[in-house]
Amino acid sequence: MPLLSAKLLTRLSNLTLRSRRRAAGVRVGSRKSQRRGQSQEFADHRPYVAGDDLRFLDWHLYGRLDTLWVKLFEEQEDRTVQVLIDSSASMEGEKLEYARKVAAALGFVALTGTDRVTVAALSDKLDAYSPPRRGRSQAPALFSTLEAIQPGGVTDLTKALAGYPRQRGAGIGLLFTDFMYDEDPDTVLRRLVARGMELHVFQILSPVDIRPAVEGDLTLIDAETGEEMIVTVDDDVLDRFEKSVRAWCEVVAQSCSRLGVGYSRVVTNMPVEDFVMRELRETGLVT
Amino acid sequence: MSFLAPFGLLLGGLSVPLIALYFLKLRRRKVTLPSLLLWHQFQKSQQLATPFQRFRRNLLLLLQLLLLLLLTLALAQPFFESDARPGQSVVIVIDSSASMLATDAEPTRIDAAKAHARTIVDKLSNTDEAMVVVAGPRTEVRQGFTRDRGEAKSAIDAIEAIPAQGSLREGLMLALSMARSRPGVELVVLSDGSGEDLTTVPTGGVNVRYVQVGRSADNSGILALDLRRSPVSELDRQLFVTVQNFGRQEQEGAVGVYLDNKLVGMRNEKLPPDEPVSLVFELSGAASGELRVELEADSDYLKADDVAFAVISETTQRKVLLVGGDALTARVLAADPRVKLSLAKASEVDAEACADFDATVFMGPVPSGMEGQHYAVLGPHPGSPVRFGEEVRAPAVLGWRRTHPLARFVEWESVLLSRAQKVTDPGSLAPIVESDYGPIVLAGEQKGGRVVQLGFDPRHSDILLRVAWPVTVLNAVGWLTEGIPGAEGARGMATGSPFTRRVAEGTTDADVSVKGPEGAVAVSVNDGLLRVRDTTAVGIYEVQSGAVRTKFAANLVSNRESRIAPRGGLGLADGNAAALSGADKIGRREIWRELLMLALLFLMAEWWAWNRRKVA
Repeated sequence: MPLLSAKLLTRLSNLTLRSRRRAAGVRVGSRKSQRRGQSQEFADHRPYVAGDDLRFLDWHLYGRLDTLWVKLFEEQEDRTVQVLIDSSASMEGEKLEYARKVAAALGFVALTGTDRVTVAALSDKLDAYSPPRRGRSQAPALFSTLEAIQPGGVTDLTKALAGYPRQRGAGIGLLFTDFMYDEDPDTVLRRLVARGMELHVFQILSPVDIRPAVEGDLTLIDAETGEEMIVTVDDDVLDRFEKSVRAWCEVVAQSCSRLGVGYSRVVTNMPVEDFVMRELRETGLVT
Repeated sequence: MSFLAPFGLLLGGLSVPLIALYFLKLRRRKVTLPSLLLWHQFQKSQQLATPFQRFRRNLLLLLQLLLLLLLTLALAQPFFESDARPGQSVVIVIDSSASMLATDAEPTRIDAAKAHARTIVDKLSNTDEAMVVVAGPRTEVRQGFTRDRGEAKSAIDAIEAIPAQGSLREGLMLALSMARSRPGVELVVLSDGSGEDLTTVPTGGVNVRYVQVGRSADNSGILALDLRRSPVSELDRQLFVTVQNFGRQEQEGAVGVYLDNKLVGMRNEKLPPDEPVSLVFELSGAASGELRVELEADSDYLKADDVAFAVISETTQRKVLLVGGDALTARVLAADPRVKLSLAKASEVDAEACADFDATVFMGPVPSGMEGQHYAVLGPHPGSPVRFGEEVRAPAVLGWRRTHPLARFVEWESVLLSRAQKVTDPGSLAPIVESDYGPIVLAGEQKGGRVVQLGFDPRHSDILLRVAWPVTVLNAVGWLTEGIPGAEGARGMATGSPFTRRVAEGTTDADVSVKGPEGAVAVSVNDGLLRVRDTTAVGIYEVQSGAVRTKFAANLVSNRESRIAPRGGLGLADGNAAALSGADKIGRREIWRELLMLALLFLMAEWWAWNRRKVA
């Protein structure tokens, strides 16, 4: 079964991945670069300094003001969209599947918009990596890479990121994780932000994470670590647990906000199409 | 609450390992979650795993501990003391005689007895059976053995005391015969006791329990009522009223006499305890109608015996034949204006000739074929309806039935006898006067005819010299001719006894109606004999048979019922029926069945809770 339906792909073709800030790219692309460049779109003037290309001198302005000004143009560059997927054991199942689909959708949008797309699966190491691809024709390869990601291992993003190659030019980072690890979310986020990317975090939770359908005297087993925990659960305990999960999600959201990182929380029982076409459009990540 | 098997409580010790097992929780369900990170955080904040936290809402453990508690209790066989003995059936005998109408219990003795009976039924276990027997003027099984408590209580509720003399003895005999029909049946008698001698009642090993109802002896009542022609004047009549205070304190009593609701006589008397007081009221000889005598006393718990009725009818003479009589007896009978006397010699009469008379008095041999006729044999003569044995010398009178019409106004203990014939076979006659050699005066019915028999020749006693003789002769004739129209004495009949009257041939039930003090009364006519059985109310009864209307009165006048002092015990032969007050506890009520039922419910609840948890 394909990751995305043809109908959704058609709808995604009309979308573009929006950046909240400019970033330097490698090749000329369809994104506005930090650099003033050679496109047709006038951006600004600046005083001439020795060495500037004389072709960009504004002669009309020289005639009126008798000073030399150089015309600056918007330079449109491509960007690297870095898809980072947490592939630890805690993501196994519907969360990883959900991450694959949202990543595929956004990757497709990026490829359609002439951006380069890399994919990395991270647990406590770099589980999978696909070098930058460009062009819509690379979409099937992107999907295959996503489908090939296998869950397993514990989460240690700091360690995994060490093996993840830096991409040329800052781009957009899309991190898919459940944040189910001991490490402070701030630490991981800071590392990624430090790479100069414009980061957007997708916190993917399953209903089981928020309110597991269990009751009674239980031994809970951690799918990642195999660790056991003895609890007695009833409705009241579940109510309080759900409340604490929501509080913890707020902490993650606040960390993102503090670091200027985009944040979207999604529970896997929401259809992917709804999430991409409605939720993400509302947040402005895609238009 | 006590325990039959207190060692059973040791089972409760299992609660320790039960709780221990919960601590160890050997069978804890394993659930794999994506990550326990959040659970760890939650645990730290909530102290989720405190040792006793899991017990707080552990419905299963709670139910199991309750189940264990119930099983432990059931095994220890707890019981409560109670009035009823569970595990065995009970025959409840309720006395419904007149004395049970006494108001010294709230509101009456019969109500108190019924309430107690209901309590006994309520305390029976589900497997026990109850039977309800009424011992009163009529003895009957009101409810056969039943496990339906509602049915038993309905039968109890329907019981009413009747102002008539009852027989506890008969009720006991009936109940005992029922109780003996199955093992382990207990007999509970709810009564104020009875004047009857119950020592000869065979209990046959049945456990008899007597619950005494009532507490006071305070009662005064009318014991006898009679109307006689005045010995002074043919035109006047005398009303004899005997009242008695059965209490232990002297009472002031007022006796009023009403003729057709008009006061015709009033007397205030001091009534000494336990001593009959005879009062005589002079009435006009022409008086006729309904006579009512009322007694009012200070402390009087029984009202049924405070009023007595009589019907004074127009005098009609009765034809009496005296056969072989002496001059004195002939004079006595001739002096009674109610009597039209004929005299004959013994050799001249036969049974057929006697049939023309309302009554025949023999003072010599009795012809054969007298059965069915009313007659008196004043001496141990040949042809008597009883068999005589040897002659006995100087028999002494031991006692007599004071309430029998034959013995009224006669003090038999002062009569001296020189000789008498010992009665060997009384036939259908019952003794009226008893001597140390057996009965000397007998009376009864023989094939529908009334018979009086003297066991001694009056000439062999001093009775002929006493006023007792004319009184006895007139008593005998009066009793023999009691059922003859127009011949009733003023004295009424006893409540509860059937009233009979000859009516014209061909009369059917539809031609006859009877109206009692409390409305219409059932009546039956068979072979020309009218019979009113339901004479249970004190008062005047009016019988309408075609165009003929007659009245009769029914009164309690019972020494036994007026003596309302409750007996301490029944005095049964084997003496196992001592009185118990309502508060006495005798049986024990085990509740292990109820506990087991409850345990079963808890088991079902636990099963439900277990399944519910498994589904979750």
